[in-house]
Amino acid sequence: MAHVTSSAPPAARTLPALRLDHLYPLVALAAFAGFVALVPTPPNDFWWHLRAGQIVAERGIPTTNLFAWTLPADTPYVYATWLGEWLFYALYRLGGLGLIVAARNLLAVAGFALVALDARRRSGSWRLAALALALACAMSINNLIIRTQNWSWLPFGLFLVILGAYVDGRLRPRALLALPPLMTFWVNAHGAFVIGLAMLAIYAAGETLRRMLRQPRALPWERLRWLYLALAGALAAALLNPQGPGIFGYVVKLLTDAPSQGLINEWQPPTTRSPAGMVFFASVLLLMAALAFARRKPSITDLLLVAAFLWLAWSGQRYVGWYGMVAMPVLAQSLAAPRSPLARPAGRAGAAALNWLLAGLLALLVLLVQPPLKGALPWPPWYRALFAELPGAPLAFSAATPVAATEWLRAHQPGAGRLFNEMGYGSYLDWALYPQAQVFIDPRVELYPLALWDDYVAISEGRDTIRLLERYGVTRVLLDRGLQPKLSAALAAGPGWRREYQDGQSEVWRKV
Amino acid sequence: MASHNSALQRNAQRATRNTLTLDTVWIGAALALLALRPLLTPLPPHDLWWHLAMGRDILAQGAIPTVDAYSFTQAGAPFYDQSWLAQVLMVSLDRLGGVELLIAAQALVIALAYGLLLRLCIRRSGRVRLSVALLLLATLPLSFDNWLVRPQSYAIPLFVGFLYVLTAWRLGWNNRLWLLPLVMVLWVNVHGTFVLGLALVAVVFVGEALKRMWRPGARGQGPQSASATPPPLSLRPLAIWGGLAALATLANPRGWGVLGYVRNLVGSSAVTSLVTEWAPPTVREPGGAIFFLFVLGLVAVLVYARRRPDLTDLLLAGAFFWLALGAGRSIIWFGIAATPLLVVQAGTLLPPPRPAAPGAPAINAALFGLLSILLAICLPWVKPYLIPPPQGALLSDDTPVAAVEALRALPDRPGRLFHAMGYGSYLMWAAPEQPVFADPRIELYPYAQWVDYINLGQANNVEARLARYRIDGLLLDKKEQQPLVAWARQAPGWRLRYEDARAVLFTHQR
Repeated sequence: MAHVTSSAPPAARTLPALRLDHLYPLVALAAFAGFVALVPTPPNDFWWHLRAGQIVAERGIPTTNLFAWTLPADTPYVYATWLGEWLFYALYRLGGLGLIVAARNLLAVAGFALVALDARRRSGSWRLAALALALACAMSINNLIIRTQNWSWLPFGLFLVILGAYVDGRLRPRALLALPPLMTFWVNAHGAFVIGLAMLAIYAAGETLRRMLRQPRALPWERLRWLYLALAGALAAALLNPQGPGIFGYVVKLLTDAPSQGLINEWQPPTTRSPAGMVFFASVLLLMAALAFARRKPSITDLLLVAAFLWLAWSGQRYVGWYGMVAMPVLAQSLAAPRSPLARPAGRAGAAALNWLLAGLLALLVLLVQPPLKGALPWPPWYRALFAELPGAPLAFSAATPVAATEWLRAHQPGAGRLFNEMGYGSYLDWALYPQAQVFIDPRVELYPLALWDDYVAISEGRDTIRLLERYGVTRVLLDRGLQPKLSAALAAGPGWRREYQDGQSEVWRKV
Repeated sequence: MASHNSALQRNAQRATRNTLTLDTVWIGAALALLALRPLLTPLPPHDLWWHLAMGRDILAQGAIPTVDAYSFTQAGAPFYDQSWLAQVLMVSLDRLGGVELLIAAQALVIALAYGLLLRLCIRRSGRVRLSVALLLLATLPLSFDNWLVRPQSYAIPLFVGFLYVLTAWRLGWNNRLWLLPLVMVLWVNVHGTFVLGLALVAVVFVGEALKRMWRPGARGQGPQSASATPPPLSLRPLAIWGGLAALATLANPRGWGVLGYVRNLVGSSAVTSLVTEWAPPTVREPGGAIFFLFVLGLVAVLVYARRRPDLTDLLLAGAFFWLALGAGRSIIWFGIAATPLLVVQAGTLLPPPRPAAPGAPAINAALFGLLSILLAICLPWVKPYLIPPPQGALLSDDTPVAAVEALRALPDRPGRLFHAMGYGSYLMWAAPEQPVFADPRIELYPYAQWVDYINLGQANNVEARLARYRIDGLLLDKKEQQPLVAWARQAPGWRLRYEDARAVLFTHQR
C-alpha cells in the first residue's frame, strides 16, 4: 500500500502552473522594470515636491508661493498633489531617497502589469498581452521620471481593470465599491484623477448606448445602475480634498495655463521626431489596421475610450502613456483573430520548473538594478557619468541635478542677494537651500506669470540678458552649461559679472 | 419587333443622357463648391509673387536662375529653382489675363483635381451622393488651407491623376500605366512633391504584392469585382511603368540633383522648425483638429464597415497618414489618398445602391442655372463689383501694394530694407530693383538669419541686429511685427515715411 501512494506525485510539491506563454508578458514587464530602474531622473519635478511633502508633514498643507523671490511670499498656490508629496517625504524619512526610487519602480511595474492583465482578459492570449504591454511601455518612456504622477499609475490601472472586467461580466457590482476610495486617494495624490472620472463616465455613457441600441452582451439596466452609482460615488469622493469642488477649477486653470501649454515640452503635441512619438503613431496605425481587419469588433465603449484618449494624447505628450494603457489592450483584442499565430496558446506548456527558473532569473535581474543593489554593481564609467553623486541614492538622479554647485552655494552666502537659476535647478534648490535661499523660478509653471517666463527664456537665450538681470536686481546666477550656453556667453561678454564657480554641469556667476 | 424595342431603348438612354438628372446636379454642386473656395479667397502674397518674379526672369533670360539675384543678404548664393515650369505657367497666365486669370485658373485646377477624385470615389463605390457628401464634408475641410496659388496647387491634379491611373489598373478598369512616366516628366518640373508620385507607385506595388502573397488571385473589392474572382494581378506592368516614372524624374534641368534638393528641403532645420505649414499638426489648431477628427471618423468607419478594407487602400491611407504627421502641409495628400477608402467603406454601411430618381428636369435645370449664376458672381472679373472685401478683393490685405509704391517714390530709398517675409515676395515682383532682406524661399537663407528675422520682428535686441545687417529701412506689417513697429515709432533716428491700415515704412536718417 505504501509503494502505491509513493508512486503518485505528491500534490503539495507540484509547482503552480507557469506556462511558456506566461513568460512573454513577464519578459516584457522585466524589460520595462529594468528600463525604469536604469534611466536617470532629471531634477525638474521631484525635489520641490519632496520639500512640499516635508512642509505638509511638519506644518500642514501650504497655500502660498514660499520658494520664489520673484513673487510675493503670500502669492496663492494650490498644492493639489499634497498627498503624493507627503508620501514621498514619508518614504524618504523611512528609507531615504533609495526607497522613493524603489517605490517609483514598483508603482510603474504594478501599473503596467495591470495593462497586461486587461489585454489578457480582452484577447485571451498572454502573447498578445505581452505585445500590448510592450507597446504601452515603449510609448511611455518619456513619462517615467519620479514625480507625483507616479501615484496615478496604480489607480489608473485599477480603474481600467475593474471597469473592463465589470462590463465584461467577470466582476460583481461590489467590485465597483473600490472605485470611490481609490478616487479619494487619487484626487489628493495627483491631478490625473480627472482622467479616472472621464474613464468612468465613458464606460457609463458607452454601456448606456449599447443598452439603448440593444446590442449583444450589453449590460442589463440593473448592472448599469451600479455603474452610475460608482460614477456618482467617485464624483463625490473627488470632492474629498482640501479644495473641495474648487479642485476642478484648479485642473481647468492648469489645462489652460499659457506658460505650461506654450513652454513645457511634455505639454506639446507628440511628433514622429521622437522615439516615443514614433511608437505612439506607429501604434495608432497598427490599431487602425487591426480594427479594420478584426473579426471581433470593439464595442462602442471601447471605441469611445480609444477616441477620447487618442484625442488627449494628440494634444500633449504627457497623455500618450494613458492612451497606451487604454488602447493597447483594445489592440490586443482586435488582433485576437482565430487564425492569428500570436493569439494561439503556446504549443507546448514547457517544463514548469524551467519556466519558474526563467521567471526567477528575470526577477533577480530586475532586483539587481534596484537600490541599493544597483549602486554596488560595476557599471562602466560612461553610465556612472549620467548620474549625480547623491548620498543615499547613487545612480538614481541625473547629472543635471546641481548637487556640487548647490553645495558650493551653501558654503558661500547662499542668501546674499537675488539668485537667477535654471528652471530644473530651481526644483533642487527648493529642496536643498530653501529657506536659506529662494529661487528665480522653478517647475511650478502655473505659479508664474507668462511675462516672467518670457524674461526667463530671454535671459537663458542670451537676449537682452544684462539689462533684464539688472531689472530684476539679480546678483547671482546659477546656470546649466548644457541648457544655457548663451547665458554663459552673455555674462562673459557683459560688464560687471564674474564667474565664481564651475564644474562639468553648472556655473555660478556673481555681479561685481 | 426586337429591333423596334432596342431602338426605343437606345432613344430612351439617349434622352436620359441628355437630361439633367438629380445626380448630375449633385456633381455640379460639388464642383461649384470646390471652385468657390479659390474664387473667393483673396491672393496672399507669400507664395505668389516671388514665383511670378522667377517666371518673369526665366522668360526674359531664357534660362533658369541658379543664384540669388534679389536679396542683399544672400546675393549670389546658389539657389535651386525647382518649380520653374509652374512659374513660367503662372507668369504666362498673368500676362494673358492678370491676377484674375490666375484666380480663375486656380479654381479650374482645384475643380479638375477634386472632380477626378470624386469620379474615382463614385466609380469605386457606385454612390454619387455619398461620394459628394464625404468629399465636401470630410476631405475638403482637410484640404482647402493648401489651395493657394502656387506651384504646389498644380501638383494636386497630378497626384490625383497618379492615384486614378494606379487604381484603375489594380481594379482592372483599364491599363493606362503608360501615363505615369509622361505625367512625371511634367510633375518633376512643376513641384517637389513629384516624389509622392513615386511613393504612390511603391505603396500600390507593396500592397498588391502582399495581396498576392496572402490571397492569390485577389484584387480590389470594388463593386465591379466583388462577385467575380479575377486572375492574379501581374505586377510586371507596374514595375516597368513605375520604374520608367522613376527614370522620368531625371527629365529636369538638374537631373539627379533634384532628389538632393528635395532631401535638403525636407531636412532643412530652417524649413521644418520655422515655417508653420512644415510643423507637425496639432489638435490645438483648427487645421490639425480637423485632420485628427477625420482620422477618428475614418477609424470609426473602418471598424463598423461591413466588409474588410482593401489592403492597398489601407496601406495608402497609412503611408500618407504618417507623412501628414510630420508636417501640416502634407495633410492634403493624406486627405486625397484616404478618401476613396473612406467612401468605399462607408458605402458598406448603407443599403445597396438603387437607381437614383432622376428628379424633375426643369427643377434640375433651374438648380444648375442657380449654381452657374453663383459661379459667375464669384468670378474674379465680377466679384470686386458685387462682393464686399475681404472675399470680394483680389489680393489679401497683407499685400503691400500702396506701401511699395510709396517706397519706390522716395527720393532717398533705403538700400538695405528689413521687411515682413511676405512683403519680400511682393517686392521681388513689384520692385525688383529693391534688394530684399528675406523672402519665402526659406531654404535660401541660413537658419541664423531666420532667427534674427523673428527676433527683430519681436523687437529683441533691435539695435545690435539692425547694426549687424546695416539696415536703413523698415517696411513692416503692423499685425505681425507690432513690437518692432512700436520700437521704431519712438526710436531716435527713425522717420515714419508711409503708413496705411496694414503696412508702415520707416527710414533711418543718414
